Amino acid sequence: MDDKEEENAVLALYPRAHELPPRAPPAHETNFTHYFALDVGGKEFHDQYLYRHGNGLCVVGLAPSHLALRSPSKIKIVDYDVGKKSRADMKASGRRKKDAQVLEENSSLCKVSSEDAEFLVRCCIRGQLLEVNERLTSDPSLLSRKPASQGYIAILMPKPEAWKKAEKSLLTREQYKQQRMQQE
Amino acid sequence: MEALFREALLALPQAPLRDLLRVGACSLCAMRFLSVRGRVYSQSVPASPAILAEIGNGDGLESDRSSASCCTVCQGILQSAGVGLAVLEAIQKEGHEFCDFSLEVTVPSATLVRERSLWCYLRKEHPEDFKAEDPNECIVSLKEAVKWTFGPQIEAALVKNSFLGMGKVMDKNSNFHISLVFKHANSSSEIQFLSDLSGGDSKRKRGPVEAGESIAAVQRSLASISSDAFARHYPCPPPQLDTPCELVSSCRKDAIFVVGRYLKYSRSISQSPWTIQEDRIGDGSVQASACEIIGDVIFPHFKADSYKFHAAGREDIDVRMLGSGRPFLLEILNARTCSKQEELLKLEHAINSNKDGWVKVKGLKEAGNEVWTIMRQGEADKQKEYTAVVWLSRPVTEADFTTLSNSKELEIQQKTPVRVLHRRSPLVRPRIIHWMRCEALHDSSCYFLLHLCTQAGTYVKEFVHGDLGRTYPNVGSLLDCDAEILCLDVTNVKMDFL
Ligand SMILES: [Zn+2]
Repeated sequence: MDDKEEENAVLALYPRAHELPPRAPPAHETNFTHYFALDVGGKEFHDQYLYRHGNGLCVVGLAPSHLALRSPSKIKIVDYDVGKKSRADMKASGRRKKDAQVLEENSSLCKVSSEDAEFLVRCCIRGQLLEVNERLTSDPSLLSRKPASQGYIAILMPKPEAWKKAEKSLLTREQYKQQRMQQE
Repeated sequence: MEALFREALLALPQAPLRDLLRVGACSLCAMRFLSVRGRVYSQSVPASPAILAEIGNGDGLESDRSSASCCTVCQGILQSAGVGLAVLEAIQKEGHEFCDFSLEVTVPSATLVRERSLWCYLRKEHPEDFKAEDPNECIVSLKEAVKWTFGPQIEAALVKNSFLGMGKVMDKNSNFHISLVFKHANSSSEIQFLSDLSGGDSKRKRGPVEAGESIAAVQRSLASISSDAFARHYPCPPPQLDTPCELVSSCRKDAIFVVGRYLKYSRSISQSPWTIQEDRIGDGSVQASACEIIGDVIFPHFKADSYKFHAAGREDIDVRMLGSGRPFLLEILNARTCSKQEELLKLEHAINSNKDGWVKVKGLKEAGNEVWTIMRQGEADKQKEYTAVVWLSRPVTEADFTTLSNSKELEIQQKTPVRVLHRRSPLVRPRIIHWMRCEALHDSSCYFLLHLCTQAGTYVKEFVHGDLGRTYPNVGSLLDCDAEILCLDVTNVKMDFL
């Protein structure tokens, strides 16, 4: 390689103005396909999102239209101690995640309590529970401040069959917008 | 008779020499058993009867096998003709270039049995001259004798046919190996009695024993048998043979290594075709990888069997490799061609003139085996430098730059990123961000260029966008806003010598 070549390699670092979009696409939008479940557990406006990564992993959290996020009362507690064993104690380990627990579509993940209400958050897909968001336990306000990113509830790893089944009942982002905006 | 040879013969104890020849050892095997070493093996050797005529045939009481055509000890190996020619043919067939060679010899295990048999006989007949129980301590091994006998012949044949210049050409450290494999059809049946004798061993290893393969095993069982026991199961001296060994000659070159650094200017070319693509969302269009772009130019030059591409770490497909480039090595297996540095420069130029220009290389050179270790180490414990285009959810301030550049040796806790969590263990790994340096980008208030140096193994994209807060602290948390990464380049992979 000659000097000119070396110089080009340095100049390549600088983006051109037209390469910079006004707002950079957030990682949780570019790396995931967004799906939604409305009225989870038959409760009106218990809306959840399910972000599916290209590798099959699913991040579950509260959709913007969820009652807990729309109500003015503050979220005070996120409690993963639901079911026989606390979800926070279900630690997956190793490349094969051999200790991971398999949860069902309607299994609860956690209980969210605000000043005047309680909400159960559910899996929305059958799969192994890889991790819960322990930061929510110490800082529940993350859930209302950053519901789509740092305020996620859990990460699940479904089998391909489970995904095929869940996909049929989930809404795409477009469908979600249509449904919820019409109602507003 | 050659003067050197005659001198060597006359210096030996005459009675054992006479006996050795009369029981059918060739003259070179006779010398082996009398511990003669060195250059004399390559002289043109007189046949046994001629030597007996020279030193006197003695009483001639026992049957004399000295005129039999095939040596009863080496199975005719040391009497082989045309070894130089056989080697020459093997090399010409493959088309190898080389400047020296090492010789590898394989002999049938039956020759060990025959050596032992002759030794038992000699111990009985000449107890004064042959005392040890095990011949291996005293005699010149057949392999050694083969090298002394045929090495100079092969050298001469190669020099004559202009494969080699004069000078030191046979070298045990050479990377070019000429192999002489001597096989004998009867070898396995001749050693069968050994596995019958040592019962336990035979259960483990049944079936026909390949020439050469079992030589160590045969050596072990011979060492465990007393001479008396041996003599009960095998005739001493060794029986006559009708047919000599056959020779198969072949040659091969050790792997050679071409090292250099590569640059990758594209965000849609992967490092290697077998890079796992699953981290990536989007179309799976097949585009030549950096490995192929480089290998397709270098590999044909060496007329080799195959090559393997190894790099010191790898970048994601959408990350460019700029600046220093990334060290890589091509392991080239059984290359026929020897390359000169100026030819490597031409190859470098050829890669760099590829019209697409997405992949460039620099510093191509040939290297020894040690680069392997350097690469592995560099992959694990060296620092890496990156440049990222970072976006903030609010306009960038001078204070942001100060905050980041003041964070030296910052320790972060990084959970296994979501994008690789499906195939890696869920862990929290501490990683060090050694330093950060910011550069404003004109015409944009929310973007800046972040230069950073990290410990090997840091997931840089996640350090910027935070990966759902799973890498912490991250650029966003340090600046108290949202941060996103628009694109990433590797600018320096530090490594000595490469
Ligand atoms: Zn011989």
